[in-house]
Amino acid sequence: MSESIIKAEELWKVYGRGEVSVTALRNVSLEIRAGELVVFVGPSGSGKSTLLNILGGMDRPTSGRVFYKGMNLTGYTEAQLTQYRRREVGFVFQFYNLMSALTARENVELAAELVSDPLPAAEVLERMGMKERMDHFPSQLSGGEQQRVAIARALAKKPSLLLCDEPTGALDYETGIQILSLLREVNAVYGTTVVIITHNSAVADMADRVFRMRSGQIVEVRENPEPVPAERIIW
Amino acid sequence: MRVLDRRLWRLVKASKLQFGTVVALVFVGMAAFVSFNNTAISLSYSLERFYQEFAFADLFADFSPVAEDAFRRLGELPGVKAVEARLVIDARVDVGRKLNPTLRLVSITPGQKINRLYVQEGSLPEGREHGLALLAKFAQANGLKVGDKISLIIRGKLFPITVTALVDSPEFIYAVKDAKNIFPDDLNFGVGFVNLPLLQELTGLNGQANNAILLLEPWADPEELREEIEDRFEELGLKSIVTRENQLSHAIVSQELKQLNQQSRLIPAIFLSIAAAVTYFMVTRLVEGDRTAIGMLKAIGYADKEVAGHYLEYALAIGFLGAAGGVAAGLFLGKELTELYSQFFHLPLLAQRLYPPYIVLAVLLPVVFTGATGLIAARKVMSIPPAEAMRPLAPLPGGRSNVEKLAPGLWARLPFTWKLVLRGILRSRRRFALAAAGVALTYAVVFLPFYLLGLWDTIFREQFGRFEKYDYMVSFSVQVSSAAIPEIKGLVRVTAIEPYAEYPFRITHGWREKTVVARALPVSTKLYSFEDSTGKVVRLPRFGVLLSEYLAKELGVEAGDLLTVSSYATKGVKYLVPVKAVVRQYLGSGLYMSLEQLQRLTGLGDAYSGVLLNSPENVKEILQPAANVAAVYSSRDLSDLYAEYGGLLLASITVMVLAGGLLGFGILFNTANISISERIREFSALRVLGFSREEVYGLILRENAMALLLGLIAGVPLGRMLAVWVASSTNSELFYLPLTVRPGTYVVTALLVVLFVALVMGVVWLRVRKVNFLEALSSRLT
Repeated sequence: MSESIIKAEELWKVYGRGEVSVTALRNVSLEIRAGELVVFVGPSGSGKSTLLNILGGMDRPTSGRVFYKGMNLTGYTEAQLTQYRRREVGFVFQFYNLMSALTARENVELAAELVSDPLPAAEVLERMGMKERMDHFPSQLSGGEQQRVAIARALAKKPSLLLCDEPTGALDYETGIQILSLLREVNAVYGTTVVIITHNSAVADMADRVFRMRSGQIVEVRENPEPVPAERIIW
Repeated sequence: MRVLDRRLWRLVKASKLQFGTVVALVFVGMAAFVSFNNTAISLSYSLERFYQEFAFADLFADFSPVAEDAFRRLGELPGVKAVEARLVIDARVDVGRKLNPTLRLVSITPGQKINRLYVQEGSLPEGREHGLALLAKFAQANGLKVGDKISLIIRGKLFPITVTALVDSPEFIYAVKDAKNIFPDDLNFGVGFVNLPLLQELTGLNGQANNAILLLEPWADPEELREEIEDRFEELGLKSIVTRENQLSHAIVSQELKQLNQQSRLIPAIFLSIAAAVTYFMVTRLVEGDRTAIGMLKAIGYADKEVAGHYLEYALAIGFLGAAGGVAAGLFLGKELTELYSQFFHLPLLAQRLYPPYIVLAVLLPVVFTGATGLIAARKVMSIPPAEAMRPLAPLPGGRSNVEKLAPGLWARLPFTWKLVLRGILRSRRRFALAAAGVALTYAVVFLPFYLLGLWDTIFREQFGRFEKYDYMVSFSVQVSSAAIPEIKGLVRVTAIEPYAEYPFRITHGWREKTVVARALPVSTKLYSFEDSTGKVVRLPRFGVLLSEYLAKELGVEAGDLLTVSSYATKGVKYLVPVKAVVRQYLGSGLYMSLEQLQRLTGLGDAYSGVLLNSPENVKEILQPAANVAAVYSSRDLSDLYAEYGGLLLASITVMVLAGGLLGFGILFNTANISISERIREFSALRVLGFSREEVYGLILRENAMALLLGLIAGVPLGRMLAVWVASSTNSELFYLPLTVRPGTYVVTALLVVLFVALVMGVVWLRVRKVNFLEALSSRLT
């Protein structure tokens, strides 16, 4: 069993104050091991996005601690968090968030420029099956293609941790499956730890481990000794 | 190039017109800044150098002809470094044309230390040689060259003389005969420099002089010395003495410099601040529209500063591109402007110079201006969290407006589309305010030149049509008695003729003092008419005086006050006279009294300086050759000159109107575009609901119509304020600009502003026609 890459201890997240406060996370503790592909499933409002934001250094917990490779993220300054996101984390968003004025390749370069030793944009895009359409602008790409570019963008920085927020949420079934198998491939080829959050329970079958969330709490952790290949998932 | 910079460039290209108009605002501001400043500095530098190197006098005194020796006493006053006695006589010169131009003959001496001449060509006449040096511009205008022989006409007699040099003089940089002729007329007025003994011989004033120029020690106060000389030399025949500040050529050149300096600040200030404001709203809109992208950039590891820098660059690009173009254009225009000035100013050392500090400033100012507002807008990036990238698009901010809360009944009765328009306006009040302010400023900027044009016409028609009704003014070299009137009637057919007398008077009120040439007229004068500041006709009083508005203001005098007056003609005796009324006078400034009043003050009887007359004949041709005639003014000539220079004014008006139009276009086009991109989802929803493209455009049109209406209302007082400011800073002894605005000016300006806004709306329609509303509704691309 490999060592832990990220570890959370007793995380609480409360938005607002007093009577109007909303508790998004209630005492969440977890540990993700390097090289794992994990899936967080839960209905909307269960706290999975909040958790992803905190793990990705985009938000801070109200209390509790997060350790990345043994370092306490909760004690980081804004600048340190920026460096953490820059060097260690790759994000894949539900709506891809590509910049419309940049070509596919440039969207990847946008991220690659942030680190000293990135993967060549063309190479990652090729790997994502986008070789022929590298110089197209996002508006000329389908949703699935855009999401491939977004994954390439995340990977170009060679992150240790790839955080995916509903990566198939805006895609049709077949394209969704393609994206999921791509994420599995990334996990296998680059050894990147992949965290996927989704409200789609079917996706959970492809994970090494599944965290089920409800009302800001992790209600179930399940090991998948034999993860199903993404192509065989059906929903 | 970094990828983000590439994106920036593409954003700019995608909004070329929007970006371009703001750059153009900076461009115009900086072109004005560089050209005006460079010209102003080139002018004042050349002027200063010319004055220094050629020892421009500090004091100028006119006397009745007296023995040269008498002037030596002036040199004994403490503070006087040097004094030179001269003879200055207006004569005429035969240059082979039908009309003989007036030539002011000014004596020179070989070792002259003050008001030295800059020799362009040839050499100054020597000893008793029959030679003269001509003011170069006059020679050029009349086709005269060194070596040409011309004939001076002095008191009817011809004296042949050779042109030995073409020169410039610090005293005649702006060569006009007197304050009445504010435009140089190089063809008909010039200056000739003749050695003193020769001039004395030609004029029959052997051993005499009638003018003194003084150079002072650096520590001496010219004003104090002027007063002292006035007190002590009045009985010696001192007619008038002025400091350098009031010397005609210098006063006009300084006035022009002052205006140039004023414009070099005002125009760039208006354009830059507008460009900065528009930049603020553009960057704000960019940031708002890019919320998700900003979240994404932060999420993938861009630092706040890097993201803010991206938007700041957009603002800086506006400032920098505008500045670069503006500097280049400014240098070119500066050269043209300097050349234009060299047509009016006889300034030999005038050349355009580069002033690096101004160039640096011209680049820095806009970069700092647009950069500052851009930074304020870009700082909004800081408050957008990286997690924004994960959120669905936020709903548009909404809520009930104050109108709804305060007047629910009224609100309920508004048609739906107007509710939409009003909500849109209230939601972005500041941007709407900018649009309205843009209209108001455009109105003011366009109003100003039309006001000046109207003024030009008013001054011209009132001064020469209503106030001074004569066709010709004939002045004599030596005063004449009333017997001259029948003589003139024998020479030309006159329909009206009146004598006048002129004497310089020193007038004092409290501690304030002025020396002016008083004009005395018959009480029954029909060729002069006076009006007070309310436009009421004032009759010339038998006793007491009338004072022009500018003089009255300078002296702090109102109708009914008593003035102390004295003159060499009163032998220095001071008299108290009442001011009967303060009267309008736009060109020059004056003191008017009846001939009886003048005779009471001076004891001089039947003596006149000239006559005013109306005649259908060409009096100039007939009377100018007469021996004792010093000059014949024709109102017609003045109006012709006015018309000629009016063309120049028209050109600058066109430029101002275009600049105003650009200002309006730059603001409104941008605010309209920002409004569209901000509300595109709202408009898209309306399209889905069944609104036609035209109806959506109608909403934008209504919003801008509101801005137009408010802007026009605010523009009227703003335009007036600008006009008052310009007029009051132009007012001097030479000009007094009335604040009368013709109603037509308001209307024409408003029509032009409406036209500009219509143009903007036309271009906006072209854009609205192309927008794919449905795509805007579904797309998340940023």
